[in-house]
Amino acid sequence: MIDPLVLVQVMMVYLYPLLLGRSLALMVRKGSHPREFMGGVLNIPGYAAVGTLVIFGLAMLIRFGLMKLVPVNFGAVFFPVSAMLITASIMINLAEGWKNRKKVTKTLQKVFWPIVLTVITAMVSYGIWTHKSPYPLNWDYNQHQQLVRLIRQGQFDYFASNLSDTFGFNSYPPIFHLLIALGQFPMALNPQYVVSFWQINGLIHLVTVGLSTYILAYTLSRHKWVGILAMIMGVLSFDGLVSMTSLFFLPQTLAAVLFAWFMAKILAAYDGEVRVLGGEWLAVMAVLMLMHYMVGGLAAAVILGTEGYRRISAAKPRWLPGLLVGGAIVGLTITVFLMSGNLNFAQINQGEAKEYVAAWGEKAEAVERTWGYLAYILIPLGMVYAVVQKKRSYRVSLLVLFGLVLVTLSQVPYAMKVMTLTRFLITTYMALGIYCLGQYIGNKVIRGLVVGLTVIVSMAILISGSLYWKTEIRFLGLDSHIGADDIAGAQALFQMMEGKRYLLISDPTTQFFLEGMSGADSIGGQYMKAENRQKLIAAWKNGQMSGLVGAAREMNDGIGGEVRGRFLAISGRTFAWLQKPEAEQMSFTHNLWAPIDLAADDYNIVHEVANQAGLVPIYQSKSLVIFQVN
Amino acid sequence: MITLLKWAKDFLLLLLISAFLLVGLWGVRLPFRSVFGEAGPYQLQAFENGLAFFHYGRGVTPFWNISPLNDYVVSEEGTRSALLASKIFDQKQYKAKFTLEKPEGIAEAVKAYFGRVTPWYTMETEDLMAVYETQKQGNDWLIQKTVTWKEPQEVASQGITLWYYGSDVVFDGATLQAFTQADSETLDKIKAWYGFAITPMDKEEWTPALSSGVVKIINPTRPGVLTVKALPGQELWVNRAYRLLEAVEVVNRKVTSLKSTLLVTGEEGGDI
Repeated sequence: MIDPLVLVQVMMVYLYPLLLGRSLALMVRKGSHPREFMGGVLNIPGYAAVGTLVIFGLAMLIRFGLMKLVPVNFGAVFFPVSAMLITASIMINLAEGWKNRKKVTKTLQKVFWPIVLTVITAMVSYGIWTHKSPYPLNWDYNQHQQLVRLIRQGQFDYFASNLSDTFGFNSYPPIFHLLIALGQFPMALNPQYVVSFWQINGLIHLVTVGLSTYILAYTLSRHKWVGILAMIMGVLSFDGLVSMTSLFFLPQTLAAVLFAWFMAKILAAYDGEVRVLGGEWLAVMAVLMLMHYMVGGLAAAVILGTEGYRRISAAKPRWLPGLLVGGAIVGLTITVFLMSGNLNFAQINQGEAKEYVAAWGEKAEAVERTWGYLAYILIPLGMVYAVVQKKRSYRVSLLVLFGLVLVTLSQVPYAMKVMTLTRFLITTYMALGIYCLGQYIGNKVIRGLVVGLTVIVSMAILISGSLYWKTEIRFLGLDSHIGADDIAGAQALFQMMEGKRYLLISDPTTQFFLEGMSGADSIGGQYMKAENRQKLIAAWKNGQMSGLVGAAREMNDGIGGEVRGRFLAISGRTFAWLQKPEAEQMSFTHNLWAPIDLAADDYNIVHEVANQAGLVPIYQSKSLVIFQVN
Repeated sequence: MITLLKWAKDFLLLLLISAFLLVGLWGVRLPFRSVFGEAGPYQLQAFENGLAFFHYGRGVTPFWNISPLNDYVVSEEGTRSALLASKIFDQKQYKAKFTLEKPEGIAEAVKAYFGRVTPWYTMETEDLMAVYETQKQGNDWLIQKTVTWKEPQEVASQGITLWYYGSDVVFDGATLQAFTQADSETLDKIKAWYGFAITPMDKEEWTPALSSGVVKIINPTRPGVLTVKALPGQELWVNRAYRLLEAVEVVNRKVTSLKSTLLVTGEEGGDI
């Protein structure tokens, strides 16, 4: 069951920046409106980007301006000021909407059916995905939620690693987390709420993926049929290797939605349908960069290149655009060549990066798990169609597709993350591939059959892919990373802490999800440092439980600060982790993806731990025991 | 005529697009695991040598096999023969099917996702074919074995078996009498965790004949309890020499085909 209040809060994560940005645009752009392609829906990324920058700017101003001058709590200023700005922006938008209600109605009529179809398709897709999975399968949400919680508690910094040691590597400032913190405000961030929020935001994110796919495909082709087909193949598919675009709400996947939507506007501008304002161009690029340095940075580079070329291509003298583009390519090539010897990609993210270099065969497998052979068959057909059209927007989109595919295929760590951008053009070109032949079908029933068959084939591939993806997470009738015991254990922690800082010591996986749900500060969670891992393993292997309790009293995270108390959690996963080979014990990527019950042998050990002085059990179940360490 | 031609063109295009979409579907990668089911903390899946209950995610785990390598028939002369002789297995002179294969595997994968397909295993030698099908009823798994011979056989009895692990504690589900050796520390741990006291095995050479028809298995290093129950017409035996639980049925006739069923239940058990 979807909690309507949580649903509204999830939607507010998108609507707050959008309304804020739009109200600012309304204030600046007075007077007549230019002709707006698709009723102005292509302006949405610009509005959202401006609103996001305002929110981020406000946070930075408070943290590095006001807080340097006056001793105030970040949250005590940020949330009330944001609430005022957002309330004002809602009023401005409502007033403008009422004033231009005829235009608003017209716009809604234009986009009503695409939205309805996208929502229905997303609900079917998410229904399939969440079958037997009542809790979020988005593993990374645990670390994102912890950062959101810290923001709620009044902590903010440009570098996420200064706030939480679960972020060992700074891939972005907490801009994504500010938006979520505003969406979740003022709810108590208890485990039930957190789990519910992230389960629902998967659905809403899927809807935005569907809408941006539709808009990109429709804008490029000017055929609703292409938009619908692309949306179907975008929403009823999951790129489950590294990129996780459609079903997981993450900084890079949010950046990808923004990219696809704004790319549509640039392509429309190539065909002279819209005007891209310099301000929105810069705002979108800035937000993309800040949202995710790698994926967003690449997206920003594509946006810079495509819109930049569009702007200079009209310049005089006529040789200037060629010189600039040629110079940029040569410059980029020389830069990459000079830097390549000094870049040790494998060491990115404390060495995690080397686990994310996929061979071409693995990448082909990932594509086939997502779309079968559809991508191989339909994209060439779509390309043929695009080339025949002789439109600038098609040529530019083809260049972007080629470029992104090349980066995706490269042997750089995390290259598969780029699939999160590439997939929007892949689904667009697959839809064009069907349209290439389907445009000659005159009978509407037969066209409907083509759409129906596309739905059935996409669903079959999605289900098969979901079965594959969930194969390692079956536990007591559910396909889940967590069980009811984990949520109950997190709830016990949440109640004990009363908003104060407590350290949580356990195996990396148990720490990771308990931290995300409860807010107990782990000593690194999944990204626990090697030194702490070795210390914990040594304490366990020593056999003296007093040593383990001693370690739990001494271990610290890399952040420091006052600690109110400590918890020691022991789960079935703890024993499974201890039984793993050393390389896997030390790895960030070998997690225990599903809950594990305790066994009879484990009981003796847990019992021995429980008998240590100063330990108070606060939660116990068949899979998890948590002690307060005094 | 023109309308007819338009229909024909539309229909041909539909066929062409359908063919592209179906070839696209053909390219989907099927899951690397064969179909699996679950019983409490255990999973049931088919492997090269038969079906097995096991724990997923706990590293090296015991596999409680139901396999043609152990299942047997006894001839009129009293000769016990495995359905799949180890020599034939080692020399790979048999064919086993247990994984999803295209094209029907695509539909099977879709059905498996919604729990509409349960694990199966098929094995064929020169002499016979053994088909293992499964059915889930709550936490109970019914493993139904059908053996079909190419030539009629005189069969006195048959056994369907579950292979247990060396460190398992195997005991009578009714009397809690152990059938395997276990030290007192292990039995104490089981008592503390599962809440019942197992009576240690008193004589090493004791051969159990079960009247209760219920045998339970606990591996102290793994969570959960596996229970094997005799069905009507079956006698349950513990074969310690080969570490087998055997559900034995009297046949005493000439047959070309025989069916047999093993009932296995997996439960969580245990509490702090």
